[in-house]
Amino acid sequence: MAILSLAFLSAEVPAGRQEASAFLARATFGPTEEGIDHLIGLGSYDEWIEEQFALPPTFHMDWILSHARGVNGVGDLADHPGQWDRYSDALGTMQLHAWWDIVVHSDDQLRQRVAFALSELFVISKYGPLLNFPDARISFYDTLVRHAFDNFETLLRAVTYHPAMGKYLSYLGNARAGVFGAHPDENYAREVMQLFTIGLYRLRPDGTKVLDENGSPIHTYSQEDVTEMARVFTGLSDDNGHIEAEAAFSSHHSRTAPMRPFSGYHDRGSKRILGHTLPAGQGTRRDIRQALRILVRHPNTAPFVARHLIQRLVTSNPSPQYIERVSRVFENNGEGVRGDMKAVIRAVLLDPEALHGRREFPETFGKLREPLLYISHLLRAFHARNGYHYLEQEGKRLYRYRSFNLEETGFLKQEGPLSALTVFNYFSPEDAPTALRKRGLAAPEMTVYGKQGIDDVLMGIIHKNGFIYELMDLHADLRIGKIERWMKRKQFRRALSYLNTLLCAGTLSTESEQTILDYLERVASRKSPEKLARHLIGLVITSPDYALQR
Amino acid sequence: MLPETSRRDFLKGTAALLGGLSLPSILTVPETAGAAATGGYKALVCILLEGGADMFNMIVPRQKSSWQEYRNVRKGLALSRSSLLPIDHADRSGNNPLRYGMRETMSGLQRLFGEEKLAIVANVGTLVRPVTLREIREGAPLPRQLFAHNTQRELWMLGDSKALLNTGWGGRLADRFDPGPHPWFNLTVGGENLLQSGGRSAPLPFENAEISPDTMRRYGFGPEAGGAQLGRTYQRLYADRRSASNRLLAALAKERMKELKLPYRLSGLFDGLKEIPPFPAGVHETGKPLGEQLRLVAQILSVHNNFPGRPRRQIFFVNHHGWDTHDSDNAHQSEYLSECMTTFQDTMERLGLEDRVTTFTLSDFGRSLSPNGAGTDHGWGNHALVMGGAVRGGEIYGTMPRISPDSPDAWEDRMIPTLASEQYLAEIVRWFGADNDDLDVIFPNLHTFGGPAPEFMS
Repeated sequence: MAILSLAFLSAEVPAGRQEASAFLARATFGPTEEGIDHLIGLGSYDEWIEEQFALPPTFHMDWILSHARGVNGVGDLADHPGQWDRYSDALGTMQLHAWWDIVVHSDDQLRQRVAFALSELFVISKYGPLLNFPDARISFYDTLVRHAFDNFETLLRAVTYHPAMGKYLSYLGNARAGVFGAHPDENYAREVMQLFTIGLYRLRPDGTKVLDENGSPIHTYSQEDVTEMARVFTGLSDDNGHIEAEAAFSSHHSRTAPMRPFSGYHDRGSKRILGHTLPAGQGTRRDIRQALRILVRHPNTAPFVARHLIQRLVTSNPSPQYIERVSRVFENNGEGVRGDMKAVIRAVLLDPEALHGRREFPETFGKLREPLLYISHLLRAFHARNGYHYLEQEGKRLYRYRSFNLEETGFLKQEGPLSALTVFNYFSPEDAPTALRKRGLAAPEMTVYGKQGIDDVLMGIIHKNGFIYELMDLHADLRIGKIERWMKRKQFRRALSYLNTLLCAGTLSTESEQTILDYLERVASRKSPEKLARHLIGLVITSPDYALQR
Repeated sequence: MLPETSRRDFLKGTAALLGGLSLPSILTVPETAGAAATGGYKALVCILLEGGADMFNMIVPRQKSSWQEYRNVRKGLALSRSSLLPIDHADRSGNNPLRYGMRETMSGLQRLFGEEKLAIVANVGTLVRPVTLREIREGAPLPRQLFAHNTQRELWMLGDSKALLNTGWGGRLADRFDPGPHPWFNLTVGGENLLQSGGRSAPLPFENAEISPDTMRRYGFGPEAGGAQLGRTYQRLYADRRSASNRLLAALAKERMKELKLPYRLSGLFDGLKEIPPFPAGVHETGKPLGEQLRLVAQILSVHNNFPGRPRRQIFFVNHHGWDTHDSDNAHQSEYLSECMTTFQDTMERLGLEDRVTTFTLSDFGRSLSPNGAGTDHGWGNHALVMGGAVRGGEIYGTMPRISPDSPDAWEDRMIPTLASEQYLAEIVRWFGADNDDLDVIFPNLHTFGGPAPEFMS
């Protein structure tokens, strides 16, 4: 009984630096030496989490307003919101620069990591209708940051009212049948069920599908439910005084303030949704509140959200028991509250399977790291120094701020913050190459690995002079003095052991260690300590052992 | 067999790169076997119109009364009758006596239709068996999760709307035609996809028409980052971890090793690449623009004889994003599709491949008949386009439905397909070389509909 024994193993104390590093890989954008020291010093995961819960959020809009200084007579953004329209191309790039700076430098790491995981659940993207509206995207991301530790229902409501989501899934300016169209837009009605809360098939609390008498999965909703739900999301538009979608998104305010109801455009008839009835005569707000509550209380939502967070933070193939334990906390935080995100996050990170899965389920535990997280970890672990950057549009310099100048993680089909091609995110929870799929295993992140993973970008950053570094115009100086000194003294094992803890949480196999040491021994006489240090870091972070976070 | 010189080069490249690693199975050049794959070279180019293309706004009735019906349901989204580009189909079946037109953005495809290089297959969709509205109301079995993007796209890619199988039809075709898991059968320029994932085979991705033997550079281990010895160490780490006990780790290491060896198997592939002018670039395309993808397919096709073993059959997968038009009509998408498909067909003619390459569309689903305002919602049945010299073009196949909620084929706001996706796909695959036995294996539910139909391929 693996689970019983796991329950006894459950300990909320990091047993050593490697365990601390493994935990921080799940809860932050990558462990650092000081971060590990700090956690070891606290002596308790729980205390670390509490400390993180108490930190003030770092908002991405604030970062931009306080960091970007206008140059060439261009005023600061805070005083000139019209520049969001004028310089939307350039500011779209600044959104990415801000994201990288915050995930690498901010103290509220857990909040930022969870917000990123939520951005892969409540997906909007710079591709599609939000292309020219970076302020809408940034403000939406801040909504996830703001509510990451809130109640799930509050979070879902904030997402639903955000004009970026309204525009992305086209219910901004949506009206009851017969006003603009023959029927209300069904886009959000469908995706809020399929992708954000309950999914396609009925689930048990442990995330497995409920089957009918023929052994087939059972649909959670029908087209009628979608049609009825679409009537709920009618009469909303952005806060610019007009409902018509063509008039929307015309000001910074309208793109960043919550959408509001426009009476006369809402379908006030009664609605039958998932077996519940919303009575006739209700306005937009009341209908939306009740409809979202139906979704949050649906038995699927707990395992659906549990699996999403577990997959994004801990492991691609959680046991049903792990999902169920988290689901139960979603259903009730112990004080009768449903959807308490703090309790859910704690349950995800402190579950015995999260803390001991590496030993208990060696064949299946872990997740392949997302490309964005490889890079954030590299920059954090080696305290990368950024540089001053001038943001330009059409050859004109507009703003100056410090930046790594990183945007996305590769040239094709890889990740960027808020850059999925569709609302289905970069990958789906069941994605896997054929060999794994046949075993019923998922490895969603492999979908975005592309041909060469992101090893080209990593090596470009590590070596600085790689063509990638120049092509991407990066500015991210790694501080590797410590490793260099060890190389100078030929203390290869010591350096490798340090990196094994810092980067791999101790998961580097003996075989891999030997291969790397052999290489160092072989070339040591011909390379400078600096080169050797860079090669060593490169080999560790591009190794398959590192790729699997566990 | 490879020509002697390139074979030598590719062995040389391999040995130089793999260094200390044991030479893999690359020395055995795969045989192209299978009775079905005899005869000259043929290729399929599948264009996925991702998101659910509104073909009902691309092929529109031109007769006054039927256009009026369409106008009544499409309202503000309806195209004006005078703007339609007339197409004159032969109507050999007698099923489609009315006249139709294409959206005015699609002059290129209109021309190809006139030149009998393009056919329209009407109202195709996912079905587990033929159904009428009455049968649906009485609870007839329907494909799972109609109207959901991912599941409907999956069913199209499975070629099995009962979802009994978990491999794509292109992947099964590879397994069937080509015993031996060599990766030159299914090629993708549009990303990983289920369609081409088989039991043994997986699609080979291409990002550009360059495969350089100095390829460690693209993995970050080029000369400026440490060079050959460092690259060999990197490869050793992956080679060793193929046997890791963790399944995800082993799978990653195996995939990476396959990729690392590939350029050496394919070195010289792009020797003799034909000069192909740029394709239309599009405006604000999501993902890699269709024109770039189709140009890359044309480039690969121009050197298809350079693949080791000279495969006689290849399937290319292309993904055109941006068709989920909830909030817009598809003026831009239809224009860009028409421009790119036309350029592709013209390019095939220049390469002398027009009779050997068949291009066809596939989409998540059609769209709702009525608008939700500025756009339309998810539907079911949809028209498809098939293009190439081997297509019996200038014709509309199947039966054009009335675009009206009163149509006998309409289920309220959605169109009930009158042809199964399997029938449509099987007709294409029949041309590709599959016999009846092959078809039974590849499309297990095809028999329910009586086989491939209609006969739009020569």
